[in-house]
Amino acid sequence: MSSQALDRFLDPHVLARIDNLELLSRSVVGGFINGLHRSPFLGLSLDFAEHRAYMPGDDIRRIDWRLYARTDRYFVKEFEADTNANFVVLLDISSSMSYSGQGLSKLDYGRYLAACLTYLVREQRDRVGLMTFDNSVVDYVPASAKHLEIILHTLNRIRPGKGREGSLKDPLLRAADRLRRRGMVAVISDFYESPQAVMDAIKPLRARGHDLVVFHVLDRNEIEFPFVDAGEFEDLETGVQLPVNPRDLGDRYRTAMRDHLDELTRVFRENEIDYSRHDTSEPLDFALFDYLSVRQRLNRVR
Amino acid sequence: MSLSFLVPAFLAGLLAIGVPILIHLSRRQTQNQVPFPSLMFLRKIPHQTESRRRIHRWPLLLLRCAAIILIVLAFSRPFVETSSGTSPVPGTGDRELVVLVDRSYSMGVGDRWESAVAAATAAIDGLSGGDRGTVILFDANAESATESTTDRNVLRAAVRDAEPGARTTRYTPALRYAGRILAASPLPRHELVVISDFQRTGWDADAGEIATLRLPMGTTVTPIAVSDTSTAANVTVAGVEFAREMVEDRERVDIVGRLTAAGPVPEEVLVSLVVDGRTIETRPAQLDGGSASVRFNPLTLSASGSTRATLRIPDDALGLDNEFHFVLGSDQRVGALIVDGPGADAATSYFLERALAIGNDPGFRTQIRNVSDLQAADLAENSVVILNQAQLPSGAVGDRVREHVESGGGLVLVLGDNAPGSWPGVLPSVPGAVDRSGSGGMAIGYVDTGHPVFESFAGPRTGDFGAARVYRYRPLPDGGFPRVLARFGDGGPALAERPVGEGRVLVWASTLDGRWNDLTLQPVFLPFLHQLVKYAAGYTPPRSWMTIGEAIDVQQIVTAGEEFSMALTPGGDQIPLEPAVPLALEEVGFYELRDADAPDRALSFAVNVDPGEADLSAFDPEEMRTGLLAATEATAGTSGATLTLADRERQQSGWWYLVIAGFILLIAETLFSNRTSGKTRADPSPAR
Repeated sequence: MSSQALDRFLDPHVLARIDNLELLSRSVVGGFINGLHRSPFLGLSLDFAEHRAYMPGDDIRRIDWRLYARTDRYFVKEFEADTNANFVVLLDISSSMSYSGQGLSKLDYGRYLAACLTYLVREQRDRVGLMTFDNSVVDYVPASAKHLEIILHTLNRIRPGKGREGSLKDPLLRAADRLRRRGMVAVISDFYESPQAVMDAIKPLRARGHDLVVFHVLDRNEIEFPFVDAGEFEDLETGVQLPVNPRDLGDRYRTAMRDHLDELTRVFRENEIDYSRHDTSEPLDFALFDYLSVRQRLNRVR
Repeated sequence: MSLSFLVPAFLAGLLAIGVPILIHLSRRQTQNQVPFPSLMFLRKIPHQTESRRRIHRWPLLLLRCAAIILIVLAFSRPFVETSSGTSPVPGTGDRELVVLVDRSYSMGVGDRWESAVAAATAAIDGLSGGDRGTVILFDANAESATESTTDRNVLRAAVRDAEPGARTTRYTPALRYAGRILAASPLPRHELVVISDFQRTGWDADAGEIATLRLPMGTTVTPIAVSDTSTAANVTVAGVEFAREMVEDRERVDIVGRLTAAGPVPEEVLVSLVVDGRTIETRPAQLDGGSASVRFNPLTLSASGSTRATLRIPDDALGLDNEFHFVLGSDQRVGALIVDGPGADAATSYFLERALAIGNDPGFRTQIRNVSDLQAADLAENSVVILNQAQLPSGAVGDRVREHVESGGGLVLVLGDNAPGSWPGVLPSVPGAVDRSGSGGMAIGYVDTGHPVFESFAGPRTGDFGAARVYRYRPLPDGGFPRVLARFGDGGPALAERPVGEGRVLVWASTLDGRWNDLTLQPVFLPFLHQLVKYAAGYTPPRSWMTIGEAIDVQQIVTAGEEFSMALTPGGDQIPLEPAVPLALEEVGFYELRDADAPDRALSFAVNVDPGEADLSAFDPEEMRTGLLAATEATAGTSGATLTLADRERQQSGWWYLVIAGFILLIAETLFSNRTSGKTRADPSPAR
């Protein structure tokens, strides 16, 4: 990937803000970036976790000979591995994401966000992966410490298109199948499904033990519905047109949207899934800040 | 004051207003497409279609609708009807009644006239209050028997005193007269009653003029037919034909009468010939196919004076056409005085005399004199003087010849060897003869077939003047005569004419004796000479009878020089004759012209009815009502003048202003639409 393509996503101004945020997070956590992510797995590491009885097949190099000398029994030492975690971004690229009312399109906003998150996570020496989807998986970049450029390239060649219907259930189910190793999963979407359907789609990931972070990207027009003139409103995913007089329907739409967002917030909270909503007119680092804040809180709890 | 439309059917174009309304309801939706991420929430919101089809941009819509309305109104040709120009409201107010009573002679059949009087009286009795009425008696002419009056007694008296005349039926003059009376009436209701036997002949004669009639709008037309088909059988003496011939200086005339019949008439009718009041012969006529002819024994006329004769049949339903009067003059021939030049021999006038001795229609009476023996009295009995190679006489005889011409007589000069003679301003000097014999002669190259002398030769195979060879002629100067009627092959004038006074002078530049040309040997010579002499004499065929209703100029039927001071009608009335005042022939029978200074001198002529009126077949009065209804619908009366709706609309020309206003609105609509459309394109749907 050319440096120009990288620059497109890694805006120096954005990165500067993120660097500051990184410094802030370090000072809060008191460690380095790689110390922010505590691995959920036990493995080879300097931090001892526990002893267990030797089982045939275990590596004899891991036998604690000192303990054998005291107890005359074979024990294997296990350590809490401070290993590189998997961080996978699931990016919704359905046609509804290509809407741009005020400022960036949701798709651009989403991939900028994905790029920044990926870069930030990679700076923490974690392994990064990417999956784009509409109503099925479109592109999948497995998590790896070396896949940053591939991810950025994949994000770069996403093209918005009409008629690309979105659905969470099937692609997220497939993601759950592929992401066998527990890690952190960031879902970026506009979630045009019922909150219950969203939750049903996300549950398989949750069941795999992934830490989920949900970024709900919306355009401000979708929230405020500022339209005045009547017209044929066209669904970007299905192409269906509907005559709409905003003067008549505006209030009811805003109410419906507000109820939808409230319900989403509620179900995510109940399922202990980090959920943050961003409109495309907000600075991008707001989302990153929210993410790091959430991570900080989780680390503190853990 | 009310608004009317000349072409109200165009108002259907107002339906076009629906087009911009539909556009404003529908195009708004197709033009403003708003892409939106998902209609998930919008679909869940219940709403009504009507609310979505609300009209936007009302000013533009109103502008467009107003433009359409104005243009549609312009095409409908609106105009304002003012109260002064409106027609009377039918069924309300006082009535102006015009009663037309047919008094043509066909109304004398049976009890038609009594029925007509009764119908007219009934119509008059129907007047009430402030109603006014007028009685018009009509035949070929229309005559108002009364002024427009509310006095019904006057109207009844006018009808009672009237009686059928002897003229034919014409409807147009009476209807036009009635239309003028009704149009001038201030009363709100107009009614026209036509009482007639509705003869087909009169209606057909008026066919071309019915469409020009105008009656005030709202006029009620009531035709009342009084004809009775059971009395329609009628035999008419339609005319008479003569064949004259001279027998031992007495003229003998074969008389053939023509009869026509209509209806259930007898097969045979006795026809009597009455001469000078005495029935001299009665013959049966077989009516076959509605017509018959009957020939009488030849009638020898008296040497002088005229003979009154009448063909008469027995009385039938219509009496006036049962007699046909005519007058037979004693000598109808054209008198021609041939004056030979000095040294003439018998051959000089041989061809002229022989040619003029032939023919009966008319015959010619010739008299030959040598110029040296010519007397002034010789001119009295002759209409034409032919100077056959003789100079115009000098002295008193010459003056008499000039007077003869100036008073209407004819002078024909056949030049030959002799010069025309002296008549300054009339006869130019003519040089010596041109001899073409060396070259084999020449033809007559041109004749003016538009002139009465040669008009009978205009058709094909009617005579070839080119066959004649001319060897010598005297060259008439070009411009010496106003009109050249014929030219020789070299272009020289052959026959020239100059009108003089009431008469005319014609000059033939060669001879008519066979010496200078062979025209006398050609077939065209005889008819040419007859036509030449008739034209020079100013001959018009004598009329043996006139038709009633004619107005004649007495001077045209009397012999030149005769004067009469009064006319005695068949009924015995005396009508003084005045110069330039025509004599109206109002009675059937024999008129007689007399002179108070010469009681023994008289001239008779006969007057008959028009036989066309004898055809009693009638037409449906509804034809007249329909025709007049069309005239009424196309008419509107205003201030005594008759204006059609189109005329009134044309006067106001309001459509012109509507068209201008409509186009101004369309221009404004274009500007406004462009401005608002551009604003719409630049301004996305969401309100920021």
